[in-house]
Amino acid sequence: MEKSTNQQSRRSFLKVTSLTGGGMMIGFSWLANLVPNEALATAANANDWVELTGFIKITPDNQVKIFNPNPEFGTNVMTSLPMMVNEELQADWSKVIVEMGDYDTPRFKSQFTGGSRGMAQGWKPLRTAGATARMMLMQAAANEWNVPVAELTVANGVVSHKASNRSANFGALATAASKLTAPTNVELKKNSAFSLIGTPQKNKVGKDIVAGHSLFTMDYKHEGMLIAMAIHPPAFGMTLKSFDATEALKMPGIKSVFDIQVYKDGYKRAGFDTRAFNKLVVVVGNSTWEVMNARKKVNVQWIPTETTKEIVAAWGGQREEIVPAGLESTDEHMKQMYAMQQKPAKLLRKDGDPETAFSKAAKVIERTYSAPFLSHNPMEPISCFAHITDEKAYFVAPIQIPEMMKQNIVSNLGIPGDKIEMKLTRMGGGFGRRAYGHYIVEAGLISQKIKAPVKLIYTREDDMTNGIYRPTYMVTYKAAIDSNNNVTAISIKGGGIPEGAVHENRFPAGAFENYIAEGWEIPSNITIGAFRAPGSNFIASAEQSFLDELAETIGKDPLDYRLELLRKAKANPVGKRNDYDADRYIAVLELVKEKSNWAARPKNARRGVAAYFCHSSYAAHVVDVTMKDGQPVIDKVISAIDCGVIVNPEGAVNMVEGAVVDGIGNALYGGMRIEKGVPMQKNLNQYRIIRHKEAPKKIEVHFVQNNFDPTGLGEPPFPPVFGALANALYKATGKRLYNQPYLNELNKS
Amino acid sequence: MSKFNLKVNGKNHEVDVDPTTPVLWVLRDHLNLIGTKYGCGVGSCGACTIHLNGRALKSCQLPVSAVGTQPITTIEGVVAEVGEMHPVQKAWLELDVAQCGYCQTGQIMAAVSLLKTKPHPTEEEIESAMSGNICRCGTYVRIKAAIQQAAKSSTK
Amino acid sequence: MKKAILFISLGMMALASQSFIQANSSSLSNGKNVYETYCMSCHMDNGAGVPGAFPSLAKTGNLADKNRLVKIILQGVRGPINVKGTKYDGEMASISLSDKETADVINYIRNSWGNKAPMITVAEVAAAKKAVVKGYQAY
Repeated sequence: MEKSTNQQSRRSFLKVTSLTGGGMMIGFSWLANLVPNEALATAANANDWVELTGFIKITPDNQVKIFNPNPEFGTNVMTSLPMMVNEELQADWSKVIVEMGDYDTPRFKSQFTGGSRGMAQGWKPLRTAGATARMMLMQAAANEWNVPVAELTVANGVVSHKASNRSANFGALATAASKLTAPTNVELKKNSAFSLIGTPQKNKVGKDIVAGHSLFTMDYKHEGMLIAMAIHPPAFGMTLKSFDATEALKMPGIKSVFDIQVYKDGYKRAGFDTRAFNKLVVVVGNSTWEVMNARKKVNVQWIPTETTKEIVAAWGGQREEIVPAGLESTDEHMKQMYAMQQKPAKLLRKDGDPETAFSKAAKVIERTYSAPFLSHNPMEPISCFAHITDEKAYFVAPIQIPEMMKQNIVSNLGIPGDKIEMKLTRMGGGFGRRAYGHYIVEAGLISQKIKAPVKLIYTREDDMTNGIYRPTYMVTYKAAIDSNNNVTAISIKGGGIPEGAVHENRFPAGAFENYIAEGWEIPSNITIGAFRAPGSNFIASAEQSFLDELAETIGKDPLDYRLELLRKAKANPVGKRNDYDADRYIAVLELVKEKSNWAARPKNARRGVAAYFCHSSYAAHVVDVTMKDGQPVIDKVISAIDCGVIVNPEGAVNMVEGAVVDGIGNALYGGMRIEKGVPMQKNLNQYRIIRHKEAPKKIEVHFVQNNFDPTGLGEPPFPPVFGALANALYKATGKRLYNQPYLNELNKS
Repeated sequence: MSKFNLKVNGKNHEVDVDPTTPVLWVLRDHLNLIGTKYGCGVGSCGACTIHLNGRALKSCQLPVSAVGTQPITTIEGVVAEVGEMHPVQKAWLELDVAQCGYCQTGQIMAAVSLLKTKPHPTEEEIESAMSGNICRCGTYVRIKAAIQQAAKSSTK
Repeated sequence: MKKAILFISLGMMALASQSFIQANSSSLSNGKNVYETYCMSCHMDNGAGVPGAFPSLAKTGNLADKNRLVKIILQGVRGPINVKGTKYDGEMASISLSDKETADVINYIRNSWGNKAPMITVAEVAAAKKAVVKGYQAY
């Protein structure tokens, strides 16, 4: 049995309340989670009891409600996190009601959807909370029946004493339980005793989704609510000079037109405060169509920005960010990146003596890869509701990290932290975009100005041209090969605009005696943000394509070559730090090898493989492709995943399938082209997203069965899809692909 | 602003809106039927799919002035039409299709319309009919399976 | 000798028309894919459109000018326009298609639902695009 005790923070982890109408509520925060994390550790040491990030609520009518703490954007934490609670609580799962928790006090610290951390963060705390609640309910029954707790059993929300044939449901016991002291020593079930975790469970909110109920911010309505839209500059590197709203104000249903400054002068931005444009012209009216029409009539003058230096808070301190003036273009960016590759770059890691190895090499193979800016394009465009009065600041917001917004809201809206109340809605997709909550501040500013409740809506064009893109990147891989066909050195040099993607301590570091990794960055006024597996989503495609080409050059099977390198890294790891577990990496490759019948494939099989480790989980894919009229048709993808214990297999498979489809779509079609600061793709009729016909005909997902604590699936399966696809396309067409989007390169004759 | 009489999900509604207003915004802003979603406004994503005369159509491209007496069905009406959940919705739940869920009502509307005209569609016919509906989360494989399951279940 | 030449020419013509037919049917089937993805939900699967909202594409007599069709797909179109006696005053959004997709969908539309027209080539679309938009460049 696993014991979960943390005396020091027990007081701050869990709080039990008696409800006014009877019943019990247990709130829990997962600051007591033992995963080391600088930001969380400081909060965990707070003396005061810290607010609730999740709840179990049991009312006398035997209704069990579990409030899901993590914002939901499609990973189905609404189902999997409460499953963790209920494994220990042991209420009747089919009757458990799941609701989204609110962010409604200034003390929330751990609500975070992103970084694929939901499973890992919740694993111990959520089960502990469930177990605590169950133990208290059992104690209440023991007290009432005057029997030892050890003689009681619990199943499906009922506590029973078999010897005396007595039983009571949770609702009947809750009020009495709420008056007890929470136990400090809580024993958790052994993995082998799980009866809910590991079983496939349907989405708890599925019925609401298929019926079209109001779940998203875009759907939210409030009495007297107005609609607002924000006009931003047509290009990065421009800012607002002046505007003339005379014509717009004459249009039906329009209330006002004014400009706002999103962040105050001197505001020190934190990591998730990114916003593309600081000055916006806002149009407010009664209904969406009226505002859409009126905004076209606003005459706005834009002027070029000047180069600025901003202090930005970052993990472990702060850094200086240069935002250059100028109107940038993709063609220029490519030239600049090629130029950076010819110059010395920052050394990130060096093992052995790569320079000598390269100079002595019998053969050197060098390949350069690139990828464009990507726009997140979540299905639901950016939107946010705000209603600011003297009493409180009420927001209805789609946001991945509510706590990160608190200081921002306090500073830029001048609202005291304890007056902020935020209802977290389900998000129509996030992918990282909704970690940047500038739109919450914008909605707040608008509400303050018009003194009314307002929903700010970004049209798809507003959303797509608003930056916070995945950066554009370039990287060159080089391998030195001696006369015996051994690879004697590896060099990785690359960077991006405005940040690079080289992860110097990841595989294949550790597998080569001579290894060098270098990186560079080029500042830009194109804003960027985290995009599903940041950095990894590019570097994996380059790395896995290169390993394939390297294997071919030295006459080895690409999958077996990866296994060989990993075994080498395991037996004799090079260097002090290698950020991967070779055994687990080998396991996913061997699983995908077995399930895809790799060894028996025909010589000309149009098939590619890739594997990657990021965000704590391991993933490998084998892609089978056919060319039809010069266009790729994805026949089949076989995936092998190691994410530790799988909490909800139904949701887990869905996540991997989605990542596979998303990866293929971005690899083949994704790309935001910039010309003189202007984003050239403005809507979904110009930015191509993968559709039904282009999705794989079949996706097969397999999991490595082990007992590691659960890790995430939102991001890890995504990066290796690109490389697997590129490698498959090579076999199908004879053409190696180096520059994304791959379809462009494929179609060039 | 002009008055229009619309028949939506079997009920008559009178709205007073600009004639160019797309039916999407009439539904969402004036009739409080928010099951039909806004994704792009240019007829590219399908989140706004409704039925006009029983046929799938993108409501962001349909001005209210063009509707006349033609009956409109939205996702809210699909359930009501049958009295309980439509076989497509049932299959959707059984196969746990949705991730974020935003595109799903549009997908369901397109699927229901397809099965009306082709009760037993081939895989290719499904792909063709559904190609106007984007799912950014990538649930296409499940959507196809749900449509096939719904098609099978309606032979009973 | 003449017979042989004639025989060979006929053979080559047969081969040429064979590949011509193949190219045609490939263009039409690709064009159908494009139509279903981007056009069908407004113009309907039978090309009939929605009266008053989306113009019909079936036997309207409007489809002869291929440059105009290329321009409509590339840039969209705003009304008022007149199609088969009905006035349409709406807006069609532009659709970003490759030159090949544009050629294929135009071929499909112009040879479906009673329409009949010569096939156009990718090169013709590329030329038409350049003509309608100066400095045109795909991604």
